[in-house]
Order: sequence, then C-alpha cells, then structure tokens
Amino acid sequence: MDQALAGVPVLSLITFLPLAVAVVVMLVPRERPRLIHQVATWGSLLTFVVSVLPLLAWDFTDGGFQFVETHAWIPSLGVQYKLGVDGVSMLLVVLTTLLTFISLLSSWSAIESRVKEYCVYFLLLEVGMLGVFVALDLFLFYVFWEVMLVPMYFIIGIWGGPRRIYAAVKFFLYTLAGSVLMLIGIIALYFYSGQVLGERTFDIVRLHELGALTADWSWAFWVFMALFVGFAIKVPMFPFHTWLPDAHVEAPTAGSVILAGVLLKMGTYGFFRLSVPIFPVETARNLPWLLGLCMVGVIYGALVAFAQQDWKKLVAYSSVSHLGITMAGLFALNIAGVKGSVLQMINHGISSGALFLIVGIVYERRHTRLISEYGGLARVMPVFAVFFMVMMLSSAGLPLLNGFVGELTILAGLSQVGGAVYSFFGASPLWWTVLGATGVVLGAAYLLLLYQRTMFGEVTNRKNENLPDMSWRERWTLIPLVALAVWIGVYPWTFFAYLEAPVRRLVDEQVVPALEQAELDVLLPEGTDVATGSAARLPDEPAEAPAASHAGRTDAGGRPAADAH
Amino acid sequence: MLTYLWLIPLAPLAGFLLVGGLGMAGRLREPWVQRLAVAASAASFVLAVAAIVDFAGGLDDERALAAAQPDRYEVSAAGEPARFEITPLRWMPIGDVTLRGWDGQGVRRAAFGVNWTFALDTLTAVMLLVVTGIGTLIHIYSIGYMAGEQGQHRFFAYLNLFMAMMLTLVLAGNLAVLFVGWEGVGLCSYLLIGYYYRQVFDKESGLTCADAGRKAFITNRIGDFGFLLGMLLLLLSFGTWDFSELAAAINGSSAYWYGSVLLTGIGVLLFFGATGKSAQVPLYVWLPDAMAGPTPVSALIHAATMVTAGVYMLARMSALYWHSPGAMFVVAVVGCLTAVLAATMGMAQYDIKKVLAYSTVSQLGYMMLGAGVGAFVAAIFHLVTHAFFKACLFLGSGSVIARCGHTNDMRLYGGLKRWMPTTYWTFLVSTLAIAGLFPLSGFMSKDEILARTLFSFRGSAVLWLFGTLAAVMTSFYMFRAVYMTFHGENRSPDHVREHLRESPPVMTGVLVVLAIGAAGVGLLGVPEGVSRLVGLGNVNWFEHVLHPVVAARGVVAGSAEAHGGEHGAAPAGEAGHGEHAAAQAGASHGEAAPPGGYLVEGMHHPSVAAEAGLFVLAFVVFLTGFLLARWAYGGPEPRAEALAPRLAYLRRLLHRKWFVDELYDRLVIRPYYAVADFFAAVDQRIVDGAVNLSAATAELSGQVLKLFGTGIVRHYALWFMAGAVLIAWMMMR
Repeated sequence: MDQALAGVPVLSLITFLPLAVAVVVMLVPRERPRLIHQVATWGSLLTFVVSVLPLLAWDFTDGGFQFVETHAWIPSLGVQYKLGVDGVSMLLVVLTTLLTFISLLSSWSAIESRVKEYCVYFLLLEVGMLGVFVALDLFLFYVFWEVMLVPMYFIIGIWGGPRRIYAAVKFFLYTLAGSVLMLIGIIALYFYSGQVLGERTFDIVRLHELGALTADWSWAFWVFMALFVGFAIKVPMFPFHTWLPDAHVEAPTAGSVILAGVLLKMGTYGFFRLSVPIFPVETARNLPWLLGLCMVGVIYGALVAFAQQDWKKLVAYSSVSHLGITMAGLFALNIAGVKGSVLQMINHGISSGALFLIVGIVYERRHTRLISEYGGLARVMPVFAVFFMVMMLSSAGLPLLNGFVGELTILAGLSQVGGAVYSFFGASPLWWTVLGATGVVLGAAYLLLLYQRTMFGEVTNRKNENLPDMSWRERWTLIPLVALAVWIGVYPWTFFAYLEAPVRRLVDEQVVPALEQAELDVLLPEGTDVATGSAARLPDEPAEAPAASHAGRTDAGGRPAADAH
Repeated sequence: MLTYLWLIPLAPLAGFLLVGGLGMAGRLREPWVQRLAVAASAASFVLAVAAIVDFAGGLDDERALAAAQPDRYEVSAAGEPARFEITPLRWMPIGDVTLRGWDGQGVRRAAFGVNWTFALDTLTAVMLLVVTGIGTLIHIYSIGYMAGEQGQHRFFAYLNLFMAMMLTLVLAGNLAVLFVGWEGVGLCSYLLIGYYYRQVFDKESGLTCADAGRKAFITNRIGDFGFLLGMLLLLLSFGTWDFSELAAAINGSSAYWYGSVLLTGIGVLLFFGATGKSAQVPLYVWLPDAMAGPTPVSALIHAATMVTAGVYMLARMSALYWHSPGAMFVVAVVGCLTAVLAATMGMAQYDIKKVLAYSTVSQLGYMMLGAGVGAFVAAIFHLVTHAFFKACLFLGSGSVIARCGHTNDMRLYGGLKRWMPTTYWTFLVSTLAIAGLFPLSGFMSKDEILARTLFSFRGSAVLWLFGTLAAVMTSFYMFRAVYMTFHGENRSPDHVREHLRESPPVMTGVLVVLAIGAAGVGLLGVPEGVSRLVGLGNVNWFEHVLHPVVAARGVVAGSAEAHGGEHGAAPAGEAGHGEHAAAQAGASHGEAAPPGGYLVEGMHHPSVAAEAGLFVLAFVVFLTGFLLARWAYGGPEPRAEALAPRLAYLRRLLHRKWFVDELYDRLVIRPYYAVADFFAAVDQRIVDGAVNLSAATAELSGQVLKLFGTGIVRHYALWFMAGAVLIAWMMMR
C-alpha cells in the first residue's frame, strides 16, 4: 500500500461519502430542484474521484485483500465491521461510483418530481452497493445487501412507468426471497465455521478456509443451493430472470442503468466471493447443470430478446444472455475463464448501462419504448446514432471494443474445461464452448435488428420528424462509457492487471487444491495426476473412445483426435 | 522504416477519426473531407512502399534490433523465408491454458497471451500493395463518383476505417489480430452497404439497403462462429495463435500432424469462416445484395480486397492446410462448386452490378479452388489480377450508372460506347482480361489455377472440367454485359439520353490506370507451362517471390500407397496420385520431401503437347463464351429475347438464383423468427407464469388461512377440540 493512503480508512470514506452527500442534499431547499440535482451529481463525482485513489496506490502482487479496516462490532456474535478489497471488488467499486455519477447526471431532465427524495434514495443505494463490494464480514455484507433493496424499490415504485407498483413489488419480493435463502446459507456457514474452525465467524477471509473442508460436510449441497438461489436470482440466471424485464421496463432510466450495471453484478460477485471459494467441490460436482443453465440463458435470452417489441425489454433480455456467458466463464474454474468472467462483469456494466441510457434519451423525447414507434432516427439524430452504434457493437462483441475481449477470454477459458465433471450426459465438454460461442451470432441478430428498426429507413412516424439530437449533458453521460469500451477493447491490460492476483488466488489456492483433494476430474495440468483423471495419459497412447465432438473421430494411426483426453 | 510497420493501418485510422469526427461536427467542407481521406489512404500506400523497400533490402539491422529487444521485434531465422514481426502493444493476457496433449507432448499448462503483433513477409507485402494501391485509386475515383452527395464525411470516414481494418488483417502476426481486421472489415462492409440507409435496394423483393447490410453482417457472423471455434481448437492444441509459431509447430512434427482429424477439423472450421467472408457456398448469399452500397464500395470491398480475405487467410495458414488434405479437398470442392453455381446465376441477371457480383463470387471460387489444390501462389496471383480487372469493371459500371440516371438495369443501357469511349475501352480490356484472353492478366492467373487443378497431386480432372465450364460461362456473361451496355441501340429514357456524356477525368483516369494494370499485371506471373511453350525459362517472378512463404514444409516419412488413398489426396477417381507423389517427389521438389514422403506439392509434368492443348483450349473457351454472347446479344435484335419464352423455366431459375434465398428464408430465417416468438411466449406464460402462480398460491393460502384466523377465541377452541379428537381417533384406531 502506498504511503499516501496509509492510515486513512479509505474504504469507509468511499462507502459513506454518498451518505454525507445525501445529508447535504437534504439541506438544500426543496424549491430548488436544479441545485439538488447538481449537489447530488457533483457529490457522486467526488465519490468517483476518491474511489479511483486506491487504484493508484495498488499492490499488484497481493492477491488478498488490501486497505483492510477491522473494528469490533458485535463481539458476542463474532460480528465485525471489516472492510477490504481485492482487485475484483475494487474494479466493481469504481464501476459503481462511475455509473452512479452518470445515472445522476442523466436524471437532470428526466426526474422533475420529488427530486430531493430521488437523489437521497439514489445516494443511499450507492452506499448499499459499495458496502456489498467492500464488506469482508458476511453479516455486514448482508446488511448492505438488504440496504440496497429498499431505495431501489422506491426508485422503481415512485419514479417508474405505468406498471411501476407491480414491477417494484415483484422486484422486492423476488429478490427478498433470494436474500432470505442467502441468509439461511450465511447462518449455516456461521455455525459450521464454529464446528470446524473452532470459532463461529462471519469473517469472509476466515470462511474461505472452509473451501477445503466443505467437501465432507453433509449439508454442503443444501447450503450451496441456498446461496445459489439467492445469487442466481440477482444475476439473474435462467429461470430466475423474469423479474428483470419488468423491473427494467418500469424503472426510470437511471434506475435501469444501475440495475443492469451494478445490481446484477451483486449476484455474479456473490458467486465469485462466496459460492465458488467456499464450495469449490460442490460447485464442481454440480457443474453440468450449472453450465447448462448458463447456456440456456445465453441462447434463450438471445432468442427472447429477438422477439421483443419493447426497446427496453430487448436490452433487459440481452442482459440475461450476456450474464449467461459471464457466469459460464466463472464456472470454467480456470484462470482464463474467471478472469474473463470478471472483466465481462465490468463490460456488461458499461455496455448495458450505456444501452439503457440510450433508450432513456429517446424515451425522454417520445415517452414510448415501442420499437415500432421509431425508425429513421439516424437522419434526425446523427450524433445519437453514432453513440448507439458504438455501444450496440460493444454489446455485440465486436473486436476493438470491450465485449470482445471479455467474450474471447471466457471462451478461451471455457474451451479448457475437459474433466469428467464437465461432461453432460456423456457429451464432450467442448460442446460448452460451441454453445457459448453461439452468442456471437445470436447477439448480433437481435442487436442489429434493433438498430435497423429504430435508426434506419425513412422517418415513418411524423412525431420523430423534429426530435432534437443529444444535448451536451447527454453526450457526457455516454462519453466516459464509450472511452472505457475502447480502452478495454484495445488495451485491457490495465484492467487485467488488477484481476491477475485475486483470480490466481481463487483458482490456484482455493479451487484447485480442494478439487485435487476431492479427486475430482476437472482436467488439471500434467503432474497433478488425479486418480480418475486423464491428465497423466502418455503422449503416444492411442486415443480411445473419444466422446462426440465436432471432429471427434479417432484416427487409426493414433494421431490426435479432437477430443482425445 | 520497418519498425514503424504499425503506422500503416494507423494512418487511415487517423483519417477515419478526423474525417468522421470533424465531419459529424460539421467543421469540414466537402473538398476537405475528400482530400483528408485520400491523403490518409495515400499515406498508408507510401508507408507500405517504404516498408517493403526496406524489407527487400535485407533484414540485418532488424536482426540486431530483435536480438536487443526480443519482446518487441522478431525476425525469421536465416534460411527461412524472410519475415519481420513487431509487437508495439500488449493486448490480452488470457492466462494459463491447459493444452490437451493432442500434439503428442502430454497435457501441460502453458502461459498464453495475445499481443498486437504486426508482421511483414512477401505474402503480406503483396497484399499491402494491392490494398493500399487499389484502395487509394478507389478513394480518388470516389471524389468524382460521390460528387454532390449529402453526408460524404460518413462515406469517406468508413472507407478510411475499412482501409485501416483491411491493413490490420493483412499485417496481423497472429490469429487474434487477424480476427480484429476480419470482423472490422465486416463492420465497414455493413456500414457502407447500409450507406443509403433510407432507400430500398431491390424492388422485386422489397429488400432495403439496411436489410442488405444486416444480412451481410449476420451471414459473416455465422462464418465467424466457425472461425472462432477453429481458433479455440488451435489454442487447445498448440497454445498459440502466432502464425509463425503455429507453422513451426505443425511443420516441426509433420509426420504426426499429417492427415490428422484434428487439423482437418480446424481447417474446415477456419474455412467456414472464409466461406462467409469470401462469399462461398453456402454463405455467399450476402454478396449480391451487398451491391446496395455505393459502387466504389462494391469495387473496393466487395471485389478487390475484403472478400479476398478468406483466400489470404488460407494462404497464411498454408502450413495447416498442407497437413490436412481432407480440409484442402473440401476447400477445392466448395471453391469449384461456387465458381460454377455463381457463374450460372450471373448469366441471367439484368442488374449490371449483380452480374459483376456473381462474377466476383465465381472468381473467388477459382481462388479457393486454387488454394484447395495447393496452388496457393496461383490463388494469390488470381487475387491480384482480379483486384485490377474487377475493380476496373465495377468502377466502369459505376461510371455508367452515374451517367444513366442511377439505374443498374442493363435493359436501360445500350450503345453507350458512343458517349463514353474511355469507360467502354477500359471496360472492354478488363472483360477480355477476366474472360482469359492471352496475354492479359486473367489468362495468366486463371489458366495457372486450372492447369494446377488438372496436374497437381491434390487436384483432379473433374474439378478441372467444372472449372473450365465456369470459364466458358464467365466469358459469356461478361460479353453479354458488354453488348447490353455498350453496343446496340440506346434504350435509356429520353431525359437521360440527352445528358449522356463521359465521366470526369478523376474517374476515367482511375479507370485507365486500372485497365493498364488489368492488361499488364499478368506478366509478373507467367505460368511455367506458357513460358516453356514460347521457349523461355521459368519467368514466373510472382512464384519466385511468394512460393517460399506458402510452400509445403516438413517431411512425412512413410508409405505413400498407404496414405494416398486413405487421406484423399485427390478425389476417389484420382487415388493414383499418391503414388505418383511418392515417385516424383524426390525428382521434382527435392527440397519439399525426400523419396517416400507424401507431403508434396508437386505436379505431374505434362508433355509439351498437353500444354499446347491447354493453351489452345483456353482460347477456345474464351471464344465460345464470346461468340455465344455475340450471337445472343450482339445483333440488332437480341436473339436472347426471342429465345426467352422457350427457356422460360431455366431463365427464371437462374434469374431467381436457384431459389437459394427463398430456401434460406424458409429453412432458417422464418423458423428463427418462429422459435424466438415461441420462446418469448414461453417466457411470459410459463416461466414468469410460474412465478406469478407461486405468488398467487401464496396469496390464496393466505386468504384461506385468514378464514381460520377470526380472532374469536371460541373458534380457536373449536379447532383445538377438533384437532384433539382427530389425534385421539388416530391413536385409538
């Protein structure tokens, strides 16, 4: 850690700075909505600036947690106020502060009623989100997790569209059901830690030690499932995704941006931080159907998105598709897959957030989300057309933009999986890659169709004839995201640098040893010599009975067949 | 200069940003849009020439540099074909990968990352000159063609972006960078096809320009899906995407890899990507519709450069294809099939650009056929000659279209020779070239491909026969276009005819330069057979320069008989070639394989009589097509029209392109829409329905329980009693 930040509780500062801003906002007279917007926006910009500081003082060699703050909170229960970040959570923190700033900036003209409450709720939401990413104590984690839910509920329920109450209640109850299951899982872990670690603890770092032990725990599957459902709802993974389109459609633009950009990352982050490191063996045992759900998400999400008539719903379903591949990368349980998965979390926050901003810009002008109401906008709003094009391509995974880097890294990771645990009804694990790669085609199909239907052709609807192009404020909400998309696309090294050490820690120190101990066959490199594995096959040995794959025929001469493990 | 190799694609990229950015902001007047874009393109040409001159002067300085900075520079070893690589920037640190041991070296972990690597060898040099040279010419031509159009900054910016992407593609030092260019040119193609995004392109089917662009992008993406899988399989097998490392790995254990299922699978997958990009069966359907773009775009992207990327990729991966005869056979058959099929479609089109588009598909088929039979040099040579004559043809058609009231319909042309002499003569020269008249360029390259198809160990007489048939059709449909456009009576509407005149010099000048190229560039690669006929030694300069890069390397020991038939070095009827290969390998290509090896690229050396026969046959082919077209379309009253009723079915079949588009519509597109709608309904009714059902169930159970929670103590007592009685009854039972 850098000397400059030594001794400063920088994470607490970042987390609670929005709360201070909220207090200031409350002091501004209600009659001056513009000032309220400005205070909240510039306050959130300040939070963003502060949140970048730890990145500058980063120790890249440390795979563990940095800037740790520990204070006793409820000693009798072993609850601590413990904060800390690794590269993964730090990048998500910065993504959160950036997207919050952008969201508040985008709300200046969209939110005109009850501005003060809106800004306060938004800043409280930011506190909750940041808290989830920096908390190192499960109790604290859960508190923040729930704190986040309430402001979002109000943001959808008060400033949302016509069916906002239905959507808000559905969002609240659905995710609450998930968090209750998660809470049960957390409590189970708490008591289990008492059994095997000697003391009951909520400390996430300590709980990671359980990773090597949960293989023998008779309740492991059920606790894993409790956490799984809690996080899967949040991600959302198929079939727990149906709250998402409703919430997105009804939420105000800024709410959708945060929902897609950050809230969904809570689920993926939960898997990264808790499920996989604490239950590596359980994860591995359940891989076939876990990956199956991911792939259903990729293909099903893309197909359903293709059929949507509602612009926002289409983008919402694209999230289901993109998060399917993101989760698949994580479940590949190897360096490339996990690294790509985390980067794709950031990428999805950028692309999806930007796409929702883009819908919001036209929604503010026309107050409709129906794709058929638009058409020919490229002539009326040329600048808008360019921004939309770039972000559409970023979402479609075009090289030189962020989505491609994430997807390719994930696919590279996914193609490595090869052990028996990945086999689905005897099919070769290589099929996972094939299924995952279909997203390349399917994603382009619905995105290009959306772009064409809204932007190309003649202006068919006379109401669109005189729409004003983007204002400078609106441009500035998108410029940072476009810049990031290009940056990650061309030189992702900057971001991968933060991910390298924590991902290695997860894979090499937590997952792989546990799996080796449990003698699970997930294709490990030579020398690991897993009893049931094929890793130790001699090179000259002819391939025998390879599973079906696209080139999986055995050559008589013992030459390499595509799936000769 | 070589150390600034990466500036070559950056120059047009800067042009794109400047022209696009300033143009969108409205800060750039029309002439400056054009000047900046042309300057950016010309800059890349100058940089490319400088780099190639430097490259040709030897790599000694660079070798010293590479020794000092091995991370940044790499130079091929002495004795290897010259190759210079530079890595200015890191890109994706993908991390450790687990190699499956398919290369026979055991399962192992390898560090894997991808960098921005650019490389130059003679193959890249040829492509660089074609892309920057013809690209710059077409930029200049566009000044004239686009005069008066609104929003030119978009056109020129995209054109510059295309140059940047295409140059990235040809300069790529690894597959990932190639893929960037590969997808990037696809994007530019999409943007430029949809340039007239408000217009309808095909009135018969109601296809808009935007539809055509999307069709191109999606079709290419389908191909890229296969390409990506091929890349991933390469990664799993070799742990690298670097071209030189891949080639070294394959050539290094040649016997191990030869004919392997894995390489064949990879080869076919990569080629599937190429069928998208280079418009081969089954993914060619986007190219004819790509004619919705402005004509200079059709010339640059959909004829001269982008669509040839697949051929370039095959040549770049030649080490892999040499080692998988099965994949090469697929390439050859698909290429031959495409050449014939597209030629038949081209014979029945009335849209001049569609004639040229199908012609392009057909010529790309020839290139694939060449690559598939191992004539990589001939394929690349045909790429170069085709770039000249097809660019000239397209730009000529653009010159006609611009003067004839922006219609593509040849039925509204006729007799234009009178008004547009320069366009006519350049068009004619290029037509003679593509039809294969000796000694124009098309003869040199196409004849070489056909000769190789017949005589190469991996070729076959059947493929040759079909290729020759397609050549007859080529000659026919091209002269048909010439007759319909430039000869006979003018059929334009009066208001158009009154204003008919030659295009401005900025356009005709480019046409003349390209026509000279179309006529003369063939002399760079006179086929060996032809030069022997006229009593010269081998003067094939092109072969001399390129052959080392794409030559078959590595040695496969073993019995030729055992493998010749098994691995399908030739189609079934030609199985005997394997034995010839073994027998002649030592004699003809001693450096490629020792006696007994079967990784050879030699060919049966035909007798002088056979070569003379082929030479005459080529002329007969040319003449047949020409005379047929003259007979049918040359007279004052085209006989074709008189014949039409009798051949109505055939004509309809060809005009509607064998109904392939309709077939795809029924088999792929409509089902896709239906499936998407189905799942959308499932999502709403069933998946979300279950959620709402559980909510409703919860509410209902609450309502039912509410009936019991009356708050009246006597009711509770009653229920308590009832429960007690029930339990008592159960216990006593």
